[in-house]
Amino acid sequence: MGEDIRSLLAAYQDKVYNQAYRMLGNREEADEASQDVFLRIHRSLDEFRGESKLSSWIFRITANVCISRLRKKQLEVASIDETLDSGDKTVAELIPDDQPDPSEQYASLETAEMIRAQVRRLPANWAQAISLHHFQGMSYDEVAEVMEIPRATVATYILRGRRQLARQLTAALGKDELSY
Amino acid sequence: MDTRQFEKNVAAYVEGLLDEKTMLAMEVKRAECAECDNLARLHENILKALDSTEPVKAPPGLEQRILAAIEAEDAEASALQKTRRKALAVSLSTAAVLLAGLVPFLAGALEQGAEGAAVDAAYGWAIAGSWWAGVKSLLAAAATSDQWALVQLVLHYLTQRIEIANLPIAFPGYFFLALGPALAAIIWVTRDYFGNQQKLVLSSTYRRGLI
Repeated sequence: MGEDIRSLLAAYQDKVYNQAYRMLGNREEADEASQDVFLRIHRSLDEFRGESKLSSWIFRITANVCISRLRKKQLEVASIDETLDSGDKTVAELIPDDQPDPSEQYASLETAEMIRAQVRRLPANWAQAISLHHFQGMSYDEVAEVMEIPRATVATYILRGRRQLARQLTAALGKDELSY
Repeated sequence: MDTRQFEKNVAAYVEGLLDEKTMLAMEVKRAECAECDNLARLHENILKALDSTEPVKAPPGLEQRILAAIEAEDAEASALQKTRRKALAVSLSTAAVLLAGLVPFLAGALEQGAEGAAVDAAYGWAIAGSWWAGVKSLLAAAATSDQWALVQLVLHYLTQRIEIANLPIAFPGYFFLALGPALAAIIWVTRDYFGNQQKLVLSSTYRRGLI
């Protein structure tokens, strides 16, 4: 086994796992997907010609593995360890105050988890673009390179995705108070 | 700007991606429309939640599991290559041996006509190592001849120089007897070379996910 794969593992395993987790929504799936990703990398490392950045190539493989898993298994949107339990929350509760009350901070974390869970209900391309931009901190240009699409399309995916996210959240709360 | 337009632009607005004029129009609309303000706050909250997402670290042991999976796959691929290498060597050996068995037949056919060729073929197949075909032919010969005649026939074949077709070269029968195993031995000794050639093909096929 080459040193290349070991150094890639050291450098990228957290990032790959994070992306897989954000796309798939549960740790077990993310774990298996990460293994698949690195096996694919190992198989095709010799064929990587440096036409794109190594990181873009790796994230592209990760996205492809995750999308393929999502399609194959028809994963439930509500994940195992990130259940979407909106309960009786209102839109007002989704919009936290600035007061640093501990219980509100907890509610805010819960809300954030709920929002992240909703990302996986978006169409795969939109979710992928949002995940790469917001969760991996990539610029639109970097996302465009990973997804091999124009930058303008990335912007469209992300903005439409967030609009859809707002609709989903509102629908999940059972509120009609926001009409779009 | 109406509410629908506001909703269309709100995702870009909260990220500050709009031009100055549209940003200003959005601010004005937001100030005068409670529903729009509510929507903008929801989008701000979504953006905040997305951007504040802490990266998740890979669980302990994942690296070891991945390395073990890679090692297992390498071992499997290596075993597959070895099997295929052996299969290649065996098939090439067999082909060479059969070819060697055909030489006397072709020589016989050209020189002695079909009848003589049939007898030579029996020798040919036997010498070539196609044991069943050879044994069957020799048994058939034994059934129609006495044993001494058969021994004489074999000895004659082994010592008689046999021309290859009309070429100006001739070899004794034992040359043909040794030819098949010799070719097989050469192929076996050089199997790594064949294996490496095959490995290149296998490797690229494997990478393309065809195996």
